[in-house]
Amino acid sequence: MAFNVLIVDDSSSMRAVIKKTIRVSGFNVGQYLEASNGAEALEVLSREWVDLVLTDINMPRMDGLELVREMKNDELFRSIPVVMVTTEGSETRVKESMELGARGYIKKPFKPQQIKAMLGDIMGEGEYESGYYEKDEGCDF
Amino acid sequence: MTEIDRIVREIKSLKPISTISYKVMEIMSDPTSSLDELVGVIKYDQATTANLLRICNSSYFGLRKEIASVKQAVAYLGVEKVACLVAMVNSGENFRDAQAGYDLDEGDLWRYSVSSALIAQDLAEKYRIANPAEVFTAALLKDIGKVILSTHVRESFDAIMREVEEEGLTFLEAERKVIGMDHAELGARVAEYWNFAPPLVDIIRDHHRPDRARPNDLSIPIVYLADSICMMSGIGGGSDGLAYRYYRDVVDRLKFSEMDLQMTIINFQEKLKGIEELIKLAQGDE
Amino acid sequence: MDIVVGVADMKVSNDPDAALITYSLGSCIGVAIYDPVATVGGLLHYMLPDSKIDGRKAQRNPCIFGDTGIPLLFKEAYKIGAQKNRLKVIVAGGAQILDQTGLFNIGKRNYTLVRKIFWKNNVMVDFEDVGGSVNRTLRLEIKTGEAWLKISGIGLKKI
Repeated sequence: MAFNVLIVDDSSSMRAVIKKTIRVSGFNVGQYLEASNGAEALEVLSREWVDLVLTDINMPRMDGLELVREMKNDELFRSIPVVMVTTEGSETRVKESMELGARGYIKKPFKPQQIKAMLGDIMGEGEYESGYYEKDEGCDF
Repeated sequence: MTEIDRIVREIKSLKPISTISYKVMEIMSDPTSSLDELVGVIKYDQATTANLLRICNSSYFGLRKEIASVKQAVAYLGVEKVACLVAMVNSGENFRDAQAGYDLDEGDLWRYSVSSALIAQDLAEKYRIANPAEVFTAALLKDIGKVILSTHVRESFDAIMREVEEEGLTFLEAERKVIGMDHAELGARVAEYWNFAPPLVDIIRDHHRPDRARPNDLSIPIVYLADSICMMSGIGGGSDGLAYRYYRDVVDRLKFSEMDLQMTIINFQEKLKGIEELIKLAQGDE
Repeated sequence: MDIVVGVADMKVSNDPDAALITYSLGSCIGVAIYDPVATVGGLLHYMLPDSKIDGRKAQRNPCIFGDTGIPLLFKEAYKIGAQKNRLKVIVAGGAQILDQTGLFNIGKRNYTLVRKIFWKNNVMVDFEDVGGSVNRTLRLEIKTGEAWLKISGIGLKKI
């Protein structure tokens, strides 16, 4: 089962690092999607099929907490798990995001094994129904 | 005379409920009544009998044997169902015209009412309601208020839609705010005017407000549920659309699950063609 | 000449005099497709998203469910000459009762399904009008491919 992952961070180099780390970890990703803030993330969510969101907390226009809040308020997005990517010193905001409904958090910089374990845990849980289909299964029509 | 007085006066212009309907309702609400009394009352009305038998023999019921008498109808379909059919056969006329205010064409409101009544009947059976015919009849007639209110809704439509879209009111609340009365309250007044039993009046009044039902009353929640399912299912809905509230507690009280909802919708879909036929036959159309 | 597509129903046509129309979508989803080169149009009106809930019923009437109805719509259109890469796609419906926090969210689920199935099958939606609490009527003219959306009580618009 491959999953579509949306990486949200205002730094493009950080997004690249996260993407590479996940790739190296071997976690099965179908498509990597990116956004530079919460508002952009919502746009991507409404256009593309996303299974999992990894988001920074501090971003302009709409931060990570607001993104979680918005997603939880949306019928379509509320079941998509969100993982906060945190830095040293953002404990209170992390706690708040968990209260808002984020599924987990991981402190950067993180190692491939750490992210694989965390994502594997989250996506492995039966209750979430992944929407992603292997594209090379071919079309039904 | 106030606007509301004027509206209430229009109740008199409705075609009155037939005598046979009253008699049947009376019999159904009296636990000591006998089958023979019901059969006797129906047999007496030739038109009703003719329509009833035509319906019983329609594909909707898929009975293998041809029903040739009221007594047989009761034997094969049961007292409750027959009482419901009598109600159907005798109540459609008021609903038949178009209601422009609700953007409903001729026949739409009746189709919607019959559909919701049939769903309500199934739910009444599922929840073992004491008087399923009463639930059916209430569901059938619950939107009678729309027949009268339609012209007023049409006149104030923009104001009503503004309340719905901008203030987040339900269509019912918007009717009340803008016109002074909503179609459920008006329907209850009609039922009172027609001397319906209080439980029936209450169901009609609160069919969009199941939160007002007594805790152990399931009739109002059932009609509310049936109505909601109809709204969602794309059966002749009007300009009020789905602008009504979801009452989670009420649905929880019924322990009505996601699976129940989908199965009810599926079962309802199977009956759709049959419902069209039922309606045609009930009208006495050949 | 209007060809009515009922609830849990689907029609395709290449008759230039015809128009496909489906009324009162409620929480149901209406999918209209049109191939301007072959002048072929199709319209589906489905009630529920996933046929898993009752496979037998889905076999008898695949149009009840989006996951069986949508492939059928496209395949029937192909049969009379439509080609996938030429198809214009319109989605309408998926309305919901107010304060939707649970059970009655069929509208959203129906919409999720159509997005999912189109994503998997590389179909782009050209126009959609979904959600809210309004009743929609969708009409597709075969000769021109013009589509009309009526929102009950509010008005008619050409898509």
